Amino acid sequence: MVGNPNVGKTSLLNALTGGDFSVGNFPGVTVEKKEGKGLIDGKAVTFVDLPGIYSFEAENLDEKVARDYLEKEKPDLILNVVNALNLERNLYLTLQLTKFCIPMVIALNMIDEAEKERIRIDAKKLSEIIGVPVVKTSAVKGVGIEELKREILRGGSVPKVFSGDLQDIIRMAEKIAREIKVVEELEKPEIDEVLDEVFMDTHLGIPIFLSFMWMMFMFTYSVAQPLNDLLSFCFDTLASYIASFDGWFFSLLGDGVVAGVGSVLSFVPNIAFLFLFLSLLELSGYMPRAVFLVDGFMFRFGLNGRSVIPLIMGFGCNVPAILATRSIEDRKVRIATALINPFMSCSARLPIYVLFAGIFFPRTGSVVIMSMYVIGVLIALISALILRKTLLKGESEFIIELPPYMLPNFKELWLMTWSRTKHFIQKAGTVILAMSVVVWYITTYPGGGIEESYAAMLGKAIQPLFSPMGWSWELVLALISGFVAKEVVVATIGVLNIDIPSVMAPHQAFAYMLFTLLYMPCIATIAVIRAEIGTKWTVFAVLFSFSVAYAMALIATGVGMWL
Amino acid sequence: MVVALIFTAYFSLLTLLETLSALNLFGFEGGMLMNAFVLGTITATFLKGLVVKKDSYQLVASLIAVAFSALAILVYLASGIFSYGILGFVAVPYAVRESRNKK
Repeated sequence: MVGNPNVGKTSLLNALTGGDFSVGNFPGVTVEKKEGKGLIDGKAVTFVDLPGIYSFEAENLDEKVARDYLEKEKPDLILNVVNALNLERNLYLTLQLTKFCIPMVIALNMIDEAEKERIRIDAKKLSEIIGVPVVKTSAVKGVGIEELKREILRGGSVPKVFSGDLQDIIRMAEKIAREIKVVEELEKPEIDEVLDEVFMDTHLGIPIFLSFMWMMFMFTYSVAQPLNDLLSFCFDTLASYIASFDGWFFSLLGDGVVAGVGSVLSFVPNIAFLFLFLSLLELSGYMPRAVFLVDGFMFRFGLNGRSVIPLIMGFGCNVPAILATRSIEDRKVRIATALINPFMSCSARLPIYVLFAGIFFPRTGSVVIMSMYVIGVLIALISALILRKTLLKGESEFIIELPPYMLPNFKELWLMTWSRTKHFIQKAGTVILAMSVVVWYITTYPGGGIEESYAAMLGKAIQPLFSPMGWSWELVLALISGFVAKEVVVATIGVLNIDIPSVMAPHQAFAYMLFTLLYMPCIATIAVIRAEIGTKWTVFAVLFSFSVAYAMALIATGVGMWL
Repeated sequence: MVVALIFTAYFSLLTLLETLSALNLFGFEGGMLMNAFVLGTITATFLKGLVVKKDSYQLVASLIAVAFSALAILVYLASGIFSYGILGFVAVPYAVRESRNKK
């Protein structure tokens, strides 16, 4: 399946496979690959959804992946998905596809939207010009899907080859579009005009966007919280019950596997609610407008509008936030966004701030906590600027199409939410399982309580590194345990029964909070960074964030002592 | 425009109440500044519609108010946290009527 971005390829894949598709990466690169099997008249057909591209002219990663796939894998058929609302630009890619001499079928998708706008397309004439079957479809409404399936089984036809330079192809695409399209009325639907006038308003656009983002937070955390609490309770009860039996195996299963994996799975409601809201924003057509609105501001830091969603999502959880960087087409911007994402203070860090602010800053607690969020954002933006001026230098290409507003249908919303949530469970769950076993081992052995454990030995061995900040080995051990999940820092402080006010001063506490904000991402985030942008950048992310955290904590301690 | 004027005044009041309760002033408590921000944005959108005399601002503001109200009700049911945004449900009839009038 080949087509421009936002032409409804994923919706068509849903319709053709009944939603049975997996999301992975193309070999050796981190470009998303959706692959699914559909059964047509008893025959299994494998569909591969290539990344959305505008042409084969530019040298970006998505176009390279698509070209390599067509040249090396030699698929049986190209299903070229064309947006009926924007024929000229879509046909430009279609004409370029003819050069591969692979049998092709064209799906004129979003035909219902085109008809709403009084655009009539002569599919038969287009079929004669290109030399391949053309089917009018609306993936969202299920229109033309059966006919498309029949054409797929017939195997399509090898198209006539259109060659020439860039300008020739553009002229040919425009000429064909003029020949096959009749526009009875060019007016935009009234509701689209109404919504765009307000959502893209110079003064109100950004506040409305921020309001939606806040609603997303409310939905993700407050509304999903009871489900989260229920799952937490179930896993805690199950873990305690299993661990109450004698023997190392039950301890491993209860305190290690169930407690560790359960701590991640209990976040699934939050993650699912977050993805549900994001899918709603995407499918409704609002998201591209939001991206366009904030693009100017993000550009100053070497990023683009698409970076803002992953960064905002980072306040919830860095794992899905880094997965959301997949929507960024420019690879360097994508890497920069993924690398700075852990600086956005995720919800798991909040209990740490609440604990320390409550003890040391009872009057100004909320201001101190708010300052953590602000510092995180500032450091993320400054880091992005530095990265884009040095290691990730380059111009950012940014093309965005503003699709019409649509009321998403429930099935599509569900499929989009589920495929993303499933990805989170698979990716984070497997890593957490392994790490839970490791943490269980180092906190349980060689025996005699946590203070005699390998974890304690590790804390004592590493403590000298933090002596300039004056933190005890117990506090250092809590930081190490936070490597698994940031909430564990507070849990470890509780298990070790540390009397915090007696072991540190307020400025040291502030430095400790800063360090927990900035130091290396948790293991699930590291696993996702590795999966998304590779091992080299993961090592860089860990070292970079640790260096920044150490420097900031040192500065905070120094300034605190001086004051 | 009378509707816009009434809604501007009504949502200004809700914004004020939410702000006072977020800052724990005059006996109000339990509000959140970000909720006040959303209510302020809705007010500003109604106000702009009033100033530029365009229905589109009223329609979008009422749609946002309805969405926020629905979410605030869900939050209240899930966690017991009250927001004056709940009272934005009064915009439902206007939002429904105006949405139907548009193509």
